[in-house]
Amino acid sequence: MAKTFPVLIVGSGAAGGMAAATLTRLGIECCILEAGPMADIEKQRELRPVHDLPFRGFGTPGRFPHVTQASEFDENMWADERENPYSHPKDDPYYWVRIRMAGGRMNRWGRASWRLSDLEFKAADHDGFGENWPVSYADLAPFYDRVEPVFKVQGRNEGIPQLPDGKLIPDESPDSPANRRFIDAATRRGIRITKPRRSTGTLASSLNLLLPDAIATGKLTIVPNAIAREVTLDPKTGLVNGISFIDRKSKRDYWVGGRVVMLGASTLESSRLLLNSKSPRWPQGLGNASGTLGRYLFDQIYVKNVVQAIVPEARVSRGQKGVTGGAGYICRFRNLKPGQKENGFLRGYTYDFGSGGGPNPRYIPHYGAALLKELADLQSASFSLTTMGEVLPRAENRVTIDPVLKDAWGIPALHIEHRYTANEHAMAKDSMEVASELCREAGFEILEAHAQMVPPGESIHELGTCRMGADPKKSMLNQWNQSHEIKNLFVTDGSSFVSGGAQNPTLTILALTLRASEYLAEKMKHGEL
Amino acid sequence: MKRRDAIATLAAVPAAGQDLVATHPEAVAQPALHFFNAAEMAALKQLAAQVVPALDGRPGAVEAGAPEFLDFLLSRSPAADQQLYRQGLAAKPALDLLSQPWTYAEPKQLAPRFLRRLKEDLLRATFNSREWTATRRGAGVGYYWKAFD
Repeated sequence: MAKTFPVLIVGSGAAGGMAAATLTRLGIECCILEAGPMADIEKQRELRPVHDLPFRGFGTPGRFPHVTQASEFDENMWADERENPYSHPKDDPYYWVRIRMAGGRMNRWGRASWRLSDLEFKAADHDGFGENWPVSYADLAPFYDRVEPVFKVQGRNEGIPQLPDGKLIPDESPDSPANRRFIDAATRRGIRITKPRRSTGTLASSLNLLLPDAIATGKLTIVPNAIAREVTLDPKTGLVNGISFIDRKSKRDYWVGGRVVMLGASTLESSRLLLNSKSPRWPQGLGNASGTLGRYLFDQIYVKNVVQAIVPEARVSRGQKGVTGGAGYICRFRNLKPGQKENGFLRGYTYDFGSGGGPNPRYIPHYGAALLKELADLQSASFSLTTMGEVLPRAENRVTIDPVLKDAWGIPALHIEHRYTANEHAMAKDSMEVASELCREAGFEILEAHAQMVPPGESIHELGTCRMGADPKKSMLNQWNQSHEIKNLFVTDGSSFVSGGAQNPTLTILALTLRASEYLAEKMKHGEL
Repeated sequence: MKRRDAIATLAAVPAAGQDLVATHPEAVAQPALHFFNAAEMAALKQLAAQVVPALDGRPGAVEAGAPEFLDFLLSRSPAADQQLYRQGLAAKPALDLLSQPWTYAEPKQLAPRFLRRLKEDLLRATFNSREWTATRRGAGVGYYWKAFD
């Protein structure tokens, strides 16, 4: 006999984990449907030397053509592309990077933990493109304040308007001399630089920071290996009433009831689920009165190693020690004034930079003994930057259901269309030029500079496709991440974003989910849901 | 050793905390060829010795078994990778091409494209080898995630 839970949650990563932690803390019984297995971190991983791996660290050949982040150490974490296929136009590749296990991609994220500002929340007011979020920074600030201590975010408060300060563990690490030279070069141009902001701890995941507390309340049920197929609708009330799912291992079908359904399956999985949840009432996908479900897909451009340089004084042969080391972050500096369009693009970009270690040998134009000696001499001399930039949300960048392709469980797969446009290309080129100029001013020797963006999706910051908005004709969700059309349906993961800035999105996903979950709890307490 | 003693040795249960000593095949056995023929392997070894030689007490690519490892890796690799290596070796490219500056855009011509890939693969296979990591304490150790059920 199927049980009906007060709240059904799909996913156990940032969004699902935060929803469960919040709702159970407020006394609401929840059930998480997690597509992957549970994981005992202590038992699931062990220290091994690379030479003991079957492929010496190269990874199983051909296993992950679209997951450049996979290594042979962690390749068992990533979702198998053969079991979980998707399609894209032949000439427009998309790299959809997924982890299907409890905790989701929080088990492997880069931990960069930035707040968005009103440059993002009110981007349309700033430059006229696209739509504003239905929330402002002031609405979300109290929730960022509460999320950062949970994840022990470390960084520096600098009073930079485009990068709001936070509740941070202070990073008082000094800058190495090489980094100081670079920072001074940027500062002379009015470019603001700060320390990285990262969640700290052995594992900064919902698996260790959110789910345990939820389980301890006694109000959380987790069903692992439960692949959601469809959110079901009560035709009499027009409200959602449960979820059909398939057991990953046996492939047996099940249904579980829920008074409220909250989706945190990750951007494209949540939208896929809604698109696959068709009915006579919702032939274009659940709650899709606006026609925006699946549309306005965006992510962030990445130009990896936009500049690779060396710090000459850090060569071993120069005999100086401690010249390099440490990392930093360059805040957005383009188009900070309303209505600007500097160098042919809207919005802006940021950089991660760091020094220390040696450059990748590919950059060294030698072989043999000369190569090995040069690598030894440069073993602490590397300086490099990576660009991260905002992608404009466009209606034509979208996901639909592939008419033919299905996954290993018979669930229709996504067809993903996402092309970068002139705005992104101009931004990438500008970032290469500025980074090169700064490196030269700092006295570094540039080994290589380029403006080649990674393919869409590779940033693992896919956002949009079920966006929030004040106008139900132009959006799926209201300011509480609640469906405009179906009041007991919520979506709080990255699919709800209206714009994304250049900042990593996870902290905002956590804050949005905390806010939406407390709103939901209040409504349930008063019998309104 | 008397027969009954040998049987007793084999049947003995190790004491708590005592590990059975295991030897990796690479330490004692010659790997068979999986992909290259003998002539191709000879050519690959010759290139490997020049691109990543032994130096200053550290093993080079040949000492680290990198050519044999690449033979195994390529036997499992997509056809495009196999073709690159086969055609690249057959072209007998001049190593001086490796003195050209690296560019993000991949070279269109076979010889520089092959050599670029060969250099990266040989270095990685060497630095990740048992022989190399034995010369650098703690090198190459990471958390390995086991397969899920």
